[in-house]
Amino acid sequence: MTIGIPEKLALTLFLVVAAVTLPWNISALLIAALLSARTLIPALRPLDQTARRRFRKIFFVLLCLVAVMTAVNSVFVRSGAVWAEIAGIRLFEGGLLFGLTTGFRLLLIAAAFLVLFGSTSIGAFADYLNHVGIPGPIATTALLSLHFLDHLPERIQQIFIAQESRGAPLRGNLVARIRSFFLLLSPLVLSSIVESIERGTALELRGFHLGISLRTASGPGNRHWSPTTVALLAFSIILVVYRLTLWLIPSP
Amino acid sequence: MADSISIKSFTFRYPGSHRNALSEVSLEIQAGSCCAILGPTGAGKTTLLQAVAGVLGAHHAQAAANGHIQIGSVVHSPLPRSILFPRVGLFLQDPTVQISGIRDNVEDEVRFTLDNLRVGDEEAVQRVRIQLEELGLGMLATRPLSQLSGGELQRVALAGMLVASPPVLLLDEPLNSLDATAQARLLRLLATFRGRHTVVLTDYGIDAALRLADRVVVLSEGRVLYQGAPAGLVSRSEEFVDLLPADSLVRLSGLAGDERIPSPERRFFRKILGAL
Repeated sequence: MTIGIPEKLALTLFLVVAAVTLPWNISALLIAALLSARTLIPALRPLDQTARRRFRKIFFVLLCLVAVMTAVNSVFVRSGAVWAEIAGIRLFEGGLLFGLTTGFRLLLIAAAFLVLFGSTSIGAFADYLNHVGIPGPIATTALLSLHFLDHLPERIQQIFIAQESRGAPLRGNLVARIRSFFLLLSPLVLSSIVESIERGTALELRGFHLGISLRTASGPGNRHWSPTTVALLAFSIILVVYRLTLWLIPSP
Repeated sequence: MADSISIKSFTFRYPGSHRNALSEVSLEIQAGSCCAILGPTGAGKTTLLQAVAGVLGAHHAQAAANGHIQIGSVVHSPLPRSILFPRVGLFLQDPTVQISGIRDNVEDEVRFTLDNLRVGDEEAVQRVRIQLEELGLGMLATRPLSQLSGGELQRVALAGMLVASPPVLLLDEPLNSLDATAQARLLRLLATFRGRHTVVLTDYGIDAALRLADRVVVLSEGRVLYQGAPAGLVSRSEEFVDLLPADSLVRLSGLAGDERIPSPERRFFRKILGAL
């Protein structure tokens, strides 16, 4: 079984649909399966150490977020029975379920995209988009955005260091960290605008406006969808239909 | 074939600005020659290159401009209104920006330019190979761009421009982000362009101008203070004390017999050199 970009895109779509339509415990199982697949299947492994580190970092942050979200919801959304009482604080089942559902939904969607982009180079995406006939300007704009997102953590880190070296209070308690967000946001937006203009000009200076081509020397494979792609797309459709049916036909 | 550049009484003001970025600039650059534009930050060096390349005309259509810019036999009045690539190649200050970001390895990245120009497969492969060899990148052809050093990235960006064989090549502070070895290598490479491309480069210092240029232009606040042979700049170095970096002035003073820089500055530079 070969896993190329069509299979990865179908897998991502399936996981997103599953995250939205299925209960949180299935999402948790799918996350575990995805993490295993990321280790076992070469095509899903991170391209380099940077991608590997980025996945770990973002996944860990999101996992913490899920834990916080679940705890906060179980305390403040007071529906259903009391699930537990810890140090006089009551945790409600309804809030717990809501927190878990929302948190694992977010985690599965994020993990799916992280695996997709961490294991696929922008050049390979370019090949594929060109192959399926996406118009050059649209595809290239999307790819340049991806390129920017790829460098975003590095850029944030640079701005973080720059602001900190000016004495900005970026570390410390939660309030300092929230404040630091605004200190980072302004230079990040400004530098993004400047870089977008420069990058656009640089592309024009290489004749991008004359005849757009995303093709690389290696070239893509054939146009047919593999059984894996078809199966994943079929599962996605089934899940959507199942969810719509549940929504449209009220239970007695 | 290289093209000549002729700029006559060219004035340019950015939209919303109250002062001219360039004022009454007139230059004559012969085909196949090398011209160095020197001056401090904000002198108008980048603006001048962007005007010739067509970037200003394409991106600042509402800007006030006068005069004309002639490239080869084509007169643009007052300035080119679209980017003139592949006739004019502009190499930006930051080489990393010039990397497309959508190609994985060195040869694919260089080929991106030829794909844009719709050059056929066989010819493109041949031209990319020749260009990579010329810039000493042959061994790196299949290397991912993420694994290149700053100097190598700059050469890849330059290859991406040169592979289109632009008759006019504009280089905006090409030595800026390079160490001494990489600078020397780039200067040697640029020296081989003589006759094939008309090269215009900007720089803060005098090194590149003295090694390469047939003609030197000193810009300050959008005005041409000096233009002529590099040797002429040597005899007038005292006029540029505030405009050129200290090492450039020391170099000029050495070439001019040590008597050209006013005495306070000379003492200051000697003090620095003594300390070193």
